[in-house]
Amino acid sequence: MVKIRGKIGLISIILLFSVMLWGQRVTCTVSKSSFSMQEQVQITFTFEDIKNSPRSVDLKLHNAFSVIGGPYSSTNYSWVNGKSTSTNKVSYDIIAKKSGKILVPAYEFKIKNQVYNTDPIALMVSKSAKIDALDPSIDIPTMFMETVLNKNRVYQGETFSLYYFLYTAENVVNYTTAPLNTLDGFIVDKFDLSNSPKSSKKVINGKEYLIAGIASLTLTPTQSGEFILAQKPFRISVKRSGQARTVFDDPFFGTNTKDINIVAPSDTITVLPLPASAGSAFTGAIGEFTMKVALDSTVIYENQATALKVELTGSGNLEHFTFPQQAFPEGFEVFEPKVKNNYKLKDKDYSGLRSWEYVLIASKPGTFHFDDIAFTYFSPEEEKYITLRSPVKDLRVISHNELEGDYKTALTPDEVRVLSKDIRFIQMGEGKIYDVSYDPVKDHKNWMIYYIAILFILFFIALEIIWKIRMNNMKQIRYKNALKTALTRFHKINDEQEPKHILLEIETAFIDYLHDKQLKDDVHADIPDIKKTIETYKYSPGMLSHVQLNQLKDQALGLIEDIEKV
Amino acid sequence: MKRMITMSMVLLISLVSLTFAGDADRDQLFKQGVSAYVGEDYQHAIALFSQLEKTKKVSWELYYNLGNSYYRNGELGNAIRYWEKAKIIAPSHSDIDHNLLIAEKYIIDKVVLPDMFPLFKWYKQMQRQLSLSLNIQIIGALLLILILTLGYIRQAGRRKSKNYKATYITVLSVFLVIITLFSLITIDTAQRRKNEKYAIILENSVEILSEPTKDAIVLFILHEGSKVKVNKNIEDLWSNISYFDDKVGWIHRSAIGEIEE
Repeated sequence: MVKIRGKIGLISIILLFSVMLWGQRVTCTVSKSSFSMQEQVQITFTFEDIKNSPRSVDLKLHNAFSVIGGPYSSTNYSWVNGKSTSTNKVSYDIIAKKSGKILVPAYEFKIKNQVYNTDPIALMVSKSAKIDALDPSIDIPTMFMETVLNKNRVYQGETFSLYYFLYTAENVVNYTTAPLNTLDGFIVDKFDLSNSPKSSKKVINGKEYLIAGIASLTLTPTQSGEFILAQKPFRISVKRSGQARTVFDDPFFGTNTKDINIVAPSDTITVLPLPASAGSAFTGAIGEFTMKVALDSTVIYENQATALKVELTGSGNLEHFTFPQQAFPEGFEVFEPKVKNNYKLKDKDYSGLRSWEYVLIASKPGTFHFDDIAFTYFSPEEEKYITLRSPVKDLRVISHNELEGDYKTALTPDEVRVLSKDIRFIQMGEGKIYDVSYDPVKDHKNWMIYYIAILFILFFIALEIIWKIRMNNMKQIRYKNALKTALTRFHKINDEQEPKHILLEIETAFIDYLHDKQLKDDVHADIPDIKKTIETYKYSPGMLSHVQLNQLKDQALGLIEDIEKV
Repeated sequence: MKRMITMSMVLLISLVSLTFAGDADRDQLFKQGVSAYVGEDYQHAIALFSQLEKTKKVSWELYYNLGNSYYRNGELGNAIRYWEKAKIIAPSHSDIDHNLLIAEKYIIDKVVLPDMFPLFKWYKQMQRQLSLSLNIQIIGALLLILILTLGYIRQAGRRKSKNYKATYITVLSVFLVIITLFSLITIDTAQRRKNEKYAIILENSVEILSEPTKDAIVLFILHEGSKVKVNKNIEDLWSNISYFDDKVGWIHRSAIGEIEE
């Protein structure tokens, strides 16, 4: 009997545990099973009736997905027929890194010696389709991004740009992204998040989108090969109409602002190596350039300086190269070239001008011959190296003996013209004539404007005085006429008028009288009483009778009479 | 009475004629100088322009033409000296700046100064480009504008019964800052003009001595066209000069030409 009882007890305990474990399970779900690389989806792990369930999950999806948000965790409790159940959810916002069929693996969770497994999920991710070629049957999101390269194939050292376009059917109020300062294999020339992007409209699959280039990235590759320019996450703030949900949302206009994480898709760039045999005059210039070389003067004196200026104009990677080393004839002290930059990073690369000015000081007399100035650049358009050459005029250095012996002939107009610049021509007539001892400080004409200024100061002072006198006169006039004005107002009051109107008339006449006479409340004991009565009557205009008002009027008139007697 | 009026009229007409005759002569002489220059007779041009200079009535055009004539005549020192004189009267005239720049190429003594602090550079440039007269007039004009603006604000406030105190203070502060800045430049320029005298070396090569005697030690040598500061003069014989502040010595007065006499 005891044995039977024990068995029943054991069975009961097993059954109880079985019932307890019946509702415990873990599931993994993804918000969409088919989506594009530009879309953000949510992966959720649901822990039903499991105590001490985790608040985060090791996703193990790094090869196929980028996690752009989460973990978001929430717990729900419910009571059914006196029994409580709990559901804990852990979610992540993810975005696909690659297209094709992607399998989300089965996850295993070990909680309090109990093992729970989820089922694997197969997902279909489509590539970032060209916007124009979208299948009309695909329901495209209200907001997505497109990445556009200005060149798909560049040479090593050739500057190119990447543009990030936002397509939106929503009301975008702001957008942000982390700045990009470094990138392996590239020099980041500029990352620009546009404050006021130009926008255009486009209808895609019947939906109207506003397209704006919200950011751009200019890069110069330092290595050759195939490079994947990674996805770029953006945070877009949109204003949506609907009921405001938090106190921070706009409660009056029924709109709220929501931040949406969105990712610009990756793109691939092919960086070609530069051909061999560039020559010594190549220092890494890639683009299209023209060169100008000028010697400051072709005749100088011993120990005098002259300058050789080389100017490069064009577009390309102007920021990333220097001018090739130059050889100068013996007999000159040559300083490091002075570099002047006047170029800007435009839409696709740098364009403008760079110049190198070599200062040469002649240490001995003679005529010197310079080698041609050569500069080699690689032209991506023609896909070959181009060398620019420019001859330099011979430089004549005059010795000091020559200078002292025949100085005048050395400075004849012809000689000056040789020096490429000449003085300007003489003046054909005289303008203002001054005395030799002219002192501008003592010239009254220079101080004329100060006299005018003083006159204006006096004028404004006079205006100020006149205004003050007039104000005083006004007070005096009002003082004299105070009684007359008050009596006239009081006489105008009659019983046919509305009580409210009569009260206003009495108040105006009385208060204005006191003001005009410049009397304060403490002059007469009745003044505060009358003012108080007026104030009291103001709060019950409908209950006022003509009798009360006539009494008030008489009281005010009596007081005025008393004041006038004094 | 009639006689007195007639006499006065005659006197007035004579005075006016004399004045105009003087102007006409000056004009004539100036034109002759220009003709001599155009005809490449630079020495004659110098003589004619110098004659005008001796009248003690000068213009920047006269100094400029003298500078050009000396330059063409191969006298670099005098050319620079007269262009510098012209620059004092017309500091911002581009022709003078251009010619001085050309002349600088021929100066043998070259000192490369370190780059100045940008604000100081701007201040120096302002000082060099604005004449003293113009500075005084600019400050006057700013004061006048300030007074008119403040007056207008006061009147407008009174008319509209409003208090424009904030506007009043803002306008006043902005103008006072600008006026103070211009005043500083002006006072500094006036002080420098009064206290600092400059001269140009007129000889090809000149020795700067340690003492105002012929047998003194030679400190350094300067060449034609170099600008020096004249610290003091001993009669008509010697001048104590400094070259870029750090080099000081004595020079024979005939070897230099002062810019402001």
